[in-house]
Amino acid sequence: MRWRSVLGLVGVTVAAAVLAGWQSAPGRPAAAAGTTVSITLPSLTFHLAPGPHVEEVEALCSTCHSLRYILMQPPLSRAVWAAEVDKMIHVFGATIPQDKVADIVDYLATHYGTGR
Amino acid sequence: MRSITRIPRRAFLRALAAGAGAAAVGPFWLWSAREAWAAGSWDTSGWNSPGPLVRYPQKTALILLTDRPPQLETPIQYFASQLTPAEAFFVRWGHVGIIPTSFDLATWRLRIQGHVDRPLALSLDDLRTGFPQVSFQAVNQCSGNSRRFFDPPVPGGEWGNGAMGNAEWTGVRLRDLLQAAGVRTGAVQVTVQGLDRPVLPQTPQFIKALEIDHALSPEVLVAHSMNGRPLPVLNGFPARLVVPGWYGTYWVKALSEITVVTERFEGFWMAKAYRIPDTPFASVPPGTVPARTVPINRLDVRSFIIRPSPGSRLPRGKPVTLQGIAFDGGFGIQQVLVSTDGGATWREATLGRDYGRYAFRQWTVEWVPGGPGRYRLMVQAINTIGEGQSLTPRWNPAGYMWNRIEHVDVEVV
Repeated sequence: MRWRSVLGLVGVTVAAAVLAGWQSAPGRPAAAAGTTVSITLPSLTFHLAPGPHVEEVEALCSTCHSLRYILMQPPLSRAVWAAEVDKMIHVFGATIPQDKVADIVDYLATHYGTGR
Repeated sequence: MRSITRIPRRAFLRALAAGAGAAAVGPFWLWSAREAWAAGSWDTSGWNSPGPLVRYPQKTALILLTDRPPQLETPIQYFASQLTPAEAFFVRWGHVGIIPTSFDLATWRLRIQGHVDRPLALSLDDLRTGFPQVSFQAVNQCSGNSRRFFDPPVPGGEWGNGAMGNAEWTGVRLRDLLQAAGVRTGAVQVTVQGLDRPVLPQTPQFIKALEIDHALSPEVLVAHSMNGRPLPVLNGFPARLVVPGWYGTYWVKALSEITVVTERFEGFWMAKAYRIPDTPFASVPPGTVPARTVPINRLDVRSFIIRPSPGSRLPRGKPVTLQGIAFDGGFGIQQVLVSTDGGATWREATLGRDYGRYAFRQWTVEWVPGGPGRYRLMVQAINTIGEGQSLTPRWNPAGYMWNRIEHVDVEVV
């Protein structure tokens, strides 16, 4: 299945000193200075359906966001996919070379499209 | 007979048993919808998005929309309680950003700045002890909750119904912070920004704005706790904005600065995004572009049947309690109507305890299922100013503010 992915190592490294004082009483004083709270996000890998230009699509689209953004979409028409790619470039500033745009739209409309 | 209260725990134990390797690796695991279904973990009736389930730090197993940035949906069974557990509360970061995951509380500050007499730089300690503490329940719902039901479909975060939750938020009134800083005459709005940053420098920074009168109203909160505990990192630690009755886009997480401004803020996330048609019910004919838009704002009326869960098999003649939730944008729920015959007849539900006009309002109806067959259970709510729900779905290009009358299909045997 497409979503199948490799698990990433995850740790919740919460500075015990910080949360220990808080677990039950939100009104209690905050922790001592120098304490940190941090989490480690899982590292997941997703792959798109094989086909012409899939490598470019994976590389260019995953710069800013997970490929899950593509995988979770309902089937979209070619016009909607083209508008999405255009939005990524002109609204969000994606650095997609102009000569790759048609290939990307083709790929998305072919594999994640409505056939229209 | 399925019992949805027991499902999360059972599913969790089964997952540990089935995936001992994964469990040994860490507190994270990932499960396909099919495997989860086989284990009886949650319904695939379409109430939620299809998954898989994932477990993120400080969170229980939630439904994955995207991992980078994280968007996680709450499974239906958690809505059987008045308060949505913090570990099950939906997660929505986005805006092609890098999210903050590490905080040094010695240096973290929330800045109150801009058009004020005395700019402030507040530590978490200041927020927790330096100002009056306020607690109340309020529903946070993503603007795009239920987007996957739009027809024709719209691109975006393809949420089922689980991008919502009701928590008890504790913190400081934004008004108290602004008054401590001394808002000067001529203030128009406050802008609100967190520690998340875009991946690319040219991508618009996520900044939201509230009118100054709204920011100075007693109900907007800078919250450091939910359900009596510090916010999980993925839900906005160390502090987030709580804007009761308004969509989640304004509830900025991991706050870093609140700036009083003298001119209307025209940044991307106010002027271009999170806009709704300026039409009745924020709706336009499917597939069309609205002529005029306004920033999304107050929650519309919604109601859900949580029990019995979709697809349940119920014995005929045996009384069953239908149970669910309703909420709106802060006028308060007046009435909940339930149908057990696909909308042919409706009767009034009994409302549960009132936890405030921004909270989930639980409701129940007793029902004795008749002869065997398939039954469509439906629910609709009406608020105190007469706003309700419709069988006709609304549509807008961004997939916001879905509030159709919902149903659950069950089988009587």
